[in-house]
Amino acid sequence: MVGQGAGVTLIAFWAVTMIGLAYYIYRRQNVTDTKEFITAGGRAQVGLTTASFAVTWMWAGDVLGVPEYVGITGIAGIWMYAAPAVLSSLIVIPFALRMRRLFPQGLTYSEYFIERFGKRAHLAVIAVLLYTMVLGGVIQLYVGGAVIGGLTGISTTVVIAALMGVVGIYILLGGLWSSMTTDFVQFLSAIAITLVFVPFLVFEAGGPGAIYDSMTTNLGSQAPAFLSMANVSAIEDLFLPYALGLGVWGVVSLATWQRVFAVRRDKTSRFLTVGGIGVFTTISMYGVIGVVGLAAFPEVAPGNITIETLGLLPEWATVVFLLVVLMVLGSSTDSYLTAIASLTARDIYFRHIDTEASDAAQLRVARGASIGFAVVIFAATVWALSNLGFVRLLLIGGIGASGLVGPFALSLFWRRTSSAGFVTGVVVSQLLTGFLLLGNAGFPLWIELQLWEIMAVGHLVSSSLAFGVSLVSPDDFRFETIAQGGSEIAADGGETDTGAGTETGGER
Amino acid sequence: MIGETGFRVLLIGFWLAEFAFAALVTYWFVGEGFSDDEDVESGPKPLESSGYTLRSLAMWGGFFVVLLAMITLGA
Repeated sequence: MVGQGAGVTLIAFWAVTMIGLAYYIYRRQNVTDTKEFITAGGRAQVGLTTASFAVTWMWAGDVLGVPEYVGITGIAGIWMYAAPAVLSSLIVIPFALRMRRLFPQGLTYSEYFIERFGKRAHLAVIAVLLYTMVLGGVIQLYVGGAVIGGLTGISTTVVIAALMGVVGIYILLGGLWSSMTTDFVQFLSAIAITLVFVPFLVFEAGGPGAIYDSMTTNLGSQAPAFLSMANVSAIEDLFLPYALGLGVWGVVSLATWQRVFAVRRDKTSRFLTVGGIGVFTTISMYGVIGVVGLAAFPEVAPGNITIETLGLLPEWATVVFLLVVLMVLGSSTDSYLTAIASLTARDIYFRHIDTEASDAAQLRVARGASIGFAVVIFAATVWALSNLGFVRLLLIGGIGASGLVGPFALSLFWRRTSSAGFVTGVVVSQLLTGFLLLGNAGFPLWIELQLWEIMAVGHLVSSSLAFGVSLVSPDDFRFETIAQGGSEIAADGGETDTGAGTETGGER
Repeated sequence: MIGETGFRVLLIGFWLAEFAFAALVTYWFVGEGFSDDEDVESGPKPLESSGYTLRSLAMWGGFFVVLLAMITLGA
């Protein structure tokens, strides 16, 4: 526990640093149009983008979640948590390469759906993405507010308001450039501190040998299972729901796609690969906190392992830990807020409200949305803290991915995928999985399924309906009609020798 | 059940992997900076070659081999 004064000082330091950085990059990169605001002009270098992508995927909740997994199932909990989190980075590669072949410099990936299927499908996608991205922001603030508030004694609501206010201001300034630049500093801070902080914790607990001995003694008959990487007894509860939901979340996340369109086009797969694998290494380091906790506090509930373990450290180290939480939290929350601002300006305002809107008008909407949705995320987080558990929040976020990934893949790689098939697959899947997750025995036709089964149902229903309905009512789509100038797409979606794409629609 | 030596190797391996990741990203950033300003005038770069993509996929392959080895040897 640190005092309120130290907590306020820490938050103020973080706020001044982040807003100062955002102002610097706003001036340096001349963020005065939507292309710069939404995709950093499509010319960000691979180091900056990799850091931004990785730290966006390092959620504040991981600091609590990974040790909790370790507390439940032992050291196997490290890969059970980390592997699904990085799976998205691998799965998104074929999507990313295909999209960047079609649109060398896209703005939001969701605009693809209005070109491919028309307004009805586009609205369905907007609805899914909007609640998914808002939930992404809520998930970060939920944990970050609780941890920082809990360790400093500052009211959780005040902490959340302060964090969201700061993030809203710096996104207002520079959009994705602000997000990526602050992400880079946050990335370096979080990783450097982790590299120092976790070994320090290990040696405070007596070193690796003492920790191992304590674990074998304290865990007794459970030691062989808890000290086995192949302990899969909890795989249905811990690994599969996460893999089937959040494991594909990156494919639908606008935050991922902004970085796909931001990085140099010739480095697309590299930043996803290094960033994804790097997230695994960071999550593994968080897992060591759980290992120390198992050795030192065998009676503590898994959900409390992180906080109890941090009690081993002197106060200054707890302050350092809070800084890690602030950095990780800020990087993810700013990414979701930028994504929502982009979605509002391009997909909602420009595509559905004022199709003649000037670039300046779109930029004004994006900046307004960054403040407006900061308020929405703040209010939703306050509500969620009183009404929802953290795991339920995570899983509701996963529903969006389970409904969209399959139909999205079909639409990109199969020209007969039709609008009717796409919309049917997405909407029915979302409704069904929402019903299964949020319903209870009092509802007619409701059946109880395990969490991973609900996610599997979501994928199965969305993909099979999109495929089946498209077979009955097929499209015969010509990809070249939506390909941006400079692309290499032929009518059947294959590659041309000459780059025969045509310039279409607005800013793209 | 993993032995004490294996446990030590695991902790050291996690630290080294994290360090390597941070070093690589920092090296890239120091060498390349924020943005490729040539892109402003010449338009987007060509899409990466298939060989480049295959090398990225090979890195993923290596990652999963290490992961499987960690699970198998740490059983």
